[in-house]
Amino acid sequence: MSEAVITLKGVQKSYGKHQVLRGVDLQVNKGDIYGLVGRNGAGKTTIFKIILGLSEYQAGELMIGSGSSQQEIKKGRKKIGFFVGSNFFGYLTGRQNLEYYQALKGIKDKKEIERVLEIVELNQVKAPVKNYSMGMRQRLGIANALLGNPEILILDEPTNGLDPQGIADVRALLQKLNQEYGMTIIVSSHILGELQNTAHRFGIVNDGRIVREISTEDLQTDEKTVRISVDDLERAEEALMAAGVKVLGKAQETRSLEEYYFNLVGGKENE
Amino acid sequence: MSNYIFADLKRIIKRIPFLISMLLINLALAGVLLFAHGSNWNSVYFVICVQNFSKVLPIILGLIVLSAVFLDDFKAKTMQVAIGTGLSRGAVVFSKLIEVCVLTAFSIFTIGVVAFGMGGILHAETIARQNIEIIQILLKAGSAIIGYCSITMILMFFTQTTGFATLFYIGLSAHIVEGILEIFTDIKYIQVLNLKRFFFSSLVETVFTRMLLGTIDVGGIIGMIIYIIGAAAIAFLLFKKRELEF
Repeated sequence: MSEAVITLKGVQKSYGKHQVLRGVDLQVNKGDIYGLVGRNGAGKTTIFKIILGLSEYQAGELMIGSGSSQQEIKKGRKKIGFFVGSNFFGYLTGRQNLEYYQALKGIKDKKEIERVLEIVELNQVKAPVKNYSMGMRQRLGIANALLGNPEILILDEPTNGLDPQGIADVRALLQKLNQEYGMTIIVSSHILGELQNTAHRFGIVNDGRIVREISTEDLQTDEKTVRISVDDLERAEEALMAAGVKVLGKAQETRSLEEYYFNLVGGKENE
Repeated sequence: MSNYIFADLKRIIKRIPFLISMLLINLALAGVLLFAHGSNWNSVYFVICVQNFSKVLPIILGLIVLSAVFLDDFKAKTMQVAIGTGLSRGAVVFSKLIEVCVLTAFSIFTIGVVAFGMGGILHAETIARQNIEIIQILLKAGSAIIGYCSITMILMFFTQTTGFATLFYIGLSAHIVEGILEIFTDIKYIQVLNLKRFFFSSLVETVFTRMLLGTIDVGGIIGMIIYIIGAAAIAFLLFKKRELEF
């Protein structure tokens, strides 16, 4: 079993009388792409804020790696790259903003900025960030998270505001970072379909708790589904039943909107 | 902490409004001295001109420094990222204080260069004692700026916004806040305590007046340091428990 990189045990958090987290138990293992899924206001961002030290919790335990002491958590946070919003100086260019964060993080390698800008395809952009579109800001945020080649990546709704191509690009990027670089990734979203295509394990957040942790295997059912194209659905069903095969369900297949879109305008769904 | 200070100062000097403001303030001083240069021109008058100009520095230069160090950070919420990378909140607060000190020192230095430069060009022919006086005048303005910025940090870090804090800074540097406090310190039974001497501006005034007379007011200097460090410490304590938004 992979080692745990981030663990929360019974974490509780309140804002005054309003309890936001009611005892969160969560474990992210090394090499996971862990999807945190829940509706707006479920507590996803609060969990991230606690991991990153931007919010304090009233009860429970946080561990980064195997350590739960303040020193060990502080040390562990240095291994985390995160994107939780577009935190940039509008008057600086994307490159200058990354230079700022590079200096802040004490990263000496000058090629690092070029590397991350190439990954998110912003290396040719010279304009100040105040002129960026929402999608460009999201991509710059991801580039910032990648500075220093962190072991753990935390991304809070990274596909917000992105067009379908942008969403597909982010999905492909995260999978590449996980498979080629071994990065552990925690990503949150309230769009279930998108998260299902990206993550291996999921923490379902509801009413301040992780109500279930599941993997993609848990989503499979005992039903065996085959896809065959026929010219007469009713006759096909009769033939299967005559052969002793129980038909559990049938549906006229439609293409997904995503498939239709990419077939129409071209572009890469998954490379 | 040093990484944060270095990164912040590096991005501040790229800020065009900051550079333009610094240029304008130095040009304003040069302009004032040029305008004053006339039939009554002598070294005493030159020192008086510099002194009068320095009275506006806590407001104008102070606002420039405050804006450069804090405004963009709070707007872009970049402090949150710094904390997320492992920097402690205490380090953030004291880093900001150090940046205020560095920028103020740099700004006062450039103004000093312009003052002495113009003095040379306009043949003010100041003597050593007057040169020292000019340096003390500028140091006094710089100390006031650092103290007022530090006190303003309390509001800034507590509210996580700059609007109200900027107004408070103006109130401090224009002595409006102290004017309001005097309403209470002048109450009959409180007056005897002479609490006005403990106001920050009073301490600055006393320290530098005595310095001009050749004495060092150790108590006053300690009082100023307590104000500056103490205000930053209060800002940290209030910031420590603050929920931060992205």
